[in-house]
Amino acid sequence: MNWINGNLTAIGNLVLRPFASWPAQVTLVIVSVFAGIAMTIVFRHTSNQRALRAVANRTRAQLMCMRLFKDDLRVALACQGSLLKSIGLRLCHTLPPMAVLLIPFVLILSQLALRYDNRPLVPGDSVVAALHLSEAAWSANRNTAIQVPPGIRVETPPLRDDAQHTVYWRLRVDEPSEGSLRWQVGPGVAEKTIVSTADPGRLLTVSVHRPGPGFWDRLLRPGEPGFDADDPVEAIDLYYPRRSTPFFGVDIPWWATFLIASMIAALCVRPFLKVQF
Amino acid sequence: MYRSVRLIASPLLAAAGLVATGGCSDASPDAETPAARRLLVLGIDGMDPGLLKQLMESGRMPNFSRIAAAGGVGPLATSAPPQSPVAWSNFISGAGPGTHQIYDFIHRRLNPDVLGLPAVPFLSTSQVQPPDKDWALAMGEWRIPLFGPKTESLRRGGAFWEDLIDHGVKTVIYRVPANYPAPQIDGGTFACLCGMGTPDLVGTYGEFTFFTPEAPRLGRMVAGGRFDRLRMHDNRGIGTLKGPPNFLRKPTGRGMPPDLQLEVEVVRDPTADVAKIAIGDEIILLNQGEWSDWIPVEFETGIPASWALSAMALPTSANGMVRFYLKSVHPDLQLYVTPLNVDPLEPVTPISAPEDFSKEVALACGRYYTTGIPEDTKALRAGALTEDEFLSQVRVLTDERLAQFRYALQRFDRGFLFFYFGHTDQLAHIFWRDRDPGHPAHNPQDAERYGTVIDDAYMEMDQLLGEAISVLGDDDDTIIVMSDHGFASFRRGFNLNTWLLENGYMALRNPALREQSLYLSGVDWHRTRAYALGLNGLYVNLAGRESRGIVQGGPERTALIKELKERLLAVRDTDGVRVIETVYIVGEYYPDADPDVAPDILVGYADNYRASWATAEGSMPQELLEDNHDRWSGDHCIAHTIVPGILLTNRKVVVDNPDLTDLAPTILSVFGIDAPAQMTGRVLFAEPGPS
Repeated sequence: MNWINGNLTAIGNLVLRPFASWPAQVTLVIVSVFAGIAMTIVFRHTSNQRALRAVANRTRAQLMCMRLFKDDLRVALACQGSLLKSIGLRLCHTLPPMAVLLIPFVLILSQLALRYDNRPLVPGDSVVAALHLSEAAWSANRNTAIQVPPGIRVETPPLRDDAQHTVYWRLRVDEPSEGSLRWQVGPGVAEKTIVSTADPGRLLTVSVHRPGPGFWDRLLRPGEPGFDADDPVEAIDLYYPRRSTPFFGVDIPWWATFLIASMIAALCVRPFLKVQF
Repeated sequence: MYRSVRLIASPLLAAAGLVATGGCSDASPDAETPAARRLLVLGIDGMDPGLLKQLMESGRMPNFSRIAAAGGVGPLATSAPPQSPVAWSNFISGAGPGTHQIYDFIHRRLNPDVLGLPAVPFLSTSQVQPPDKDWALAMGEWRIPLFGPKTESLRRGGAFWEDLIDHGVKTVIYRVPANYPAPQIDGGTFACLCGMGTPDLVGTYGEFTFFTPEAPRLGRMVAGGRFDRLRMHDNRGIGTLKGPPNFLRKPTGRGMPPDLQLEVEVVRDPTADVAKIAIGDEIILLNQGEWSDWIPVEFETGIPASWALSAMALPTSANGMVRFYLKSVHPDLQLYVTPLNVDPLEPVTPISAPEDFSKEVALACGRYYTTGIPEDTKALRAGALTEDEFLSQVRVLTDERLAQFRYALQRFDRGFLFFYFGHTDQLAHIFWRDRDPGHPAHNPQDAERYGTVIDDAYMEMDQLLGEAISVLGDDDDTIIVMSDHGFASFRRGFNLNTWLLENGYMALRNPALREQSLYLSGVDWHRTRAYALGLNGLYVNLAGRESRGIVQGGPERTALIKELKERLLAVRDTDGVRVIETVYIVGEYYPDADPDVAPDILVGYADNYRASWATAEGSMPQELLEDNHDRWSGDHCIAHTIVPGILLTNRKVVVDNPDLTDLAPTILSVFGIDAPAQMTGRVLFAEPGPS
């Protein structure tokens, strides 16, 4: 998972780097439109288009039948039964392509979340860092110290939460910087990226959570490699500010924009790509 | 009566004003027209002319002295009574209370059908009309109002900015008091941020929360806030932040819907003085003695399918913001939370005009206090904050204001700009005793420590004025610095209701319960001829007006008022000193006063005296006069001649004894606009342009 995430993040960075200074809403719509088109193409090649078209034709016929024989209850009910069957069949035909699409869909969403959920820090921002240790490593490492890159200042002493095996610090950004927070934990050094820039609108990879060994945790938080199960560190959080992506003054969640824009794009290209959904 | 001499602007300038009338356009007027001029009015609440004079004479106010040398400085007569809502309404309308009908912080609602009282107090400048119950969708325990509540200003008459806008003058106003809700004015170039009078999210003037282990299990309400317990276990505690009533729930048995709540989780380090606060999605780390940034909070109503209602633009939650102050971590964790301020980025109710202006300021300068009087003197007086902590809170909010002032100055290219600072007033209320050796609560240690707090605030205003001068350097620019009133020491409190009781004007149903009678609740209205409400108001229990009135109108009422005036003026303290300087019969002093709104008598206390705290609460202790040992030790709600404000300007003032009501016509004259008939004030300058 670490290998897949690392490569996907690198590809994402490569693709989006030229647009990093564009407004986040604009790049989000562009990415969503391309994703919608790409998923339509994948759907076309992974689905039984002939069967879907046949079912669609049958559905139309059954709807017409219901309209024509609305005075004949027995025929109308039979048409309704057939219609339900067709709908079920249509759903069955869409399941294989949906199953295929689910994987890239989740990967795309988690990559987008890495960029649109939170914004990078800017000078003057304060942010809380949380080092989550394993139960076994807690007593030996609860007094660990944090090391910060230039431009970042530690504002509080460590706050040790014995119940949660977590140590917290509050950091303040004095200057834009890109580097890592470091902790000496046991024999090793744990690291977590920290991103600060002069422009809060800049589209950068912002990893809030460096995950642990769990599959889902790593899948949904692809920004940094996950810690192994035997690592004394379970996870590290850096609570970046939320990014807002408003449209016409209304703050719409980025994922809603993605879903709407990608669906509209898919519906628009459907006639040209001759795809039956 | 105020003199109503009015200078008429020259025909040439009047004509230029007409040319400049742009209506709705934002286009810059011709540089030669009056609308292209700049006029800055800096409103410094409570700045006292005596103290200012001392500081200027000692050379500590160089920028004030510079402006005074160019124009002049002197006292500015204030309103009667000299209370901020009244005084600022005089400023806004260019006329006295007979026009704007604001007479006190508190007015009375007649015959409210509450506990059999003929009158209950309410805040005088605005009122909220709850949504109509008939226009709501009811579903089980939920009720979705189809229309929101309506807030209306109770200040009557016009405001000077209406004429400025009509004549195409760009007008920007930051927090002029007695101006909530924001005026909705179509057209023109107008922006206005609300100030004193703006409520918090709960609908009050600001209620803090103080988490402390000393609070009782169910919490304790104090004036202006509540003490709540934080249940600590293993360095982890849970508390509850109370929000506004759940506006989508049907009222419960007590007639009110349940309050919205948010859980606050606090974790402290076992030994270090640092704590983590988690509220909603937010996590904050604070050192002991630190203020947090503004933390947005969202109170969810919990209505099912809230997403569907949100999609229909119906509110399903209430957004606000708070700051935390970590008072102590060990041995006891104590946490102060500011009142729930309206978030200027997502206001649940408009706090500016246009509505987006509050957001624009927040985006440029950061989130900021939005409650009307943000200096939390109530928390200080209740013991939730110490003097030093209160000063640190005032520092935080003053820094916010300074950032906004600089932002406003940067954008001040033409027209009229008003900017208000209120901390000078609140600091004087609290720290006056430290500069008055005759105050009963004066002590040398505090005087040593806090004796210069007010001076320091004045000197900071001087620096600010220096910044304004550097921006407004043109000959055509006018600068006015003004305050609504000055200050006097509040050494002794007079129990006006006790006096009424002892002199037979008021009677109690059960005299044995006299000490427990709050808000006039124990008064026998069938034997009461007069009652006091607010800090200066005295009302006759008038038949036909008050539901249980016993005093007949006409000669009986007139005779009673005269008798009260004579006897009040004769009141002496134990050492023979006069307690009441003057008594105004409202019907004579303000012939246009609305008798349903105005008090019948306004009591003007003598220097060092004021209505007691018990009078303000509508109770009647045994003692007629008592020493004031409260931290609130300076005041101005006395005879208005004792506490004038200040007027400083770079223009020559040609009128004797300038008055607050003179400022509105003067502002209009700077832009070549004639004052409307409503305004009784005079134009202070000889020429519309700078001399």
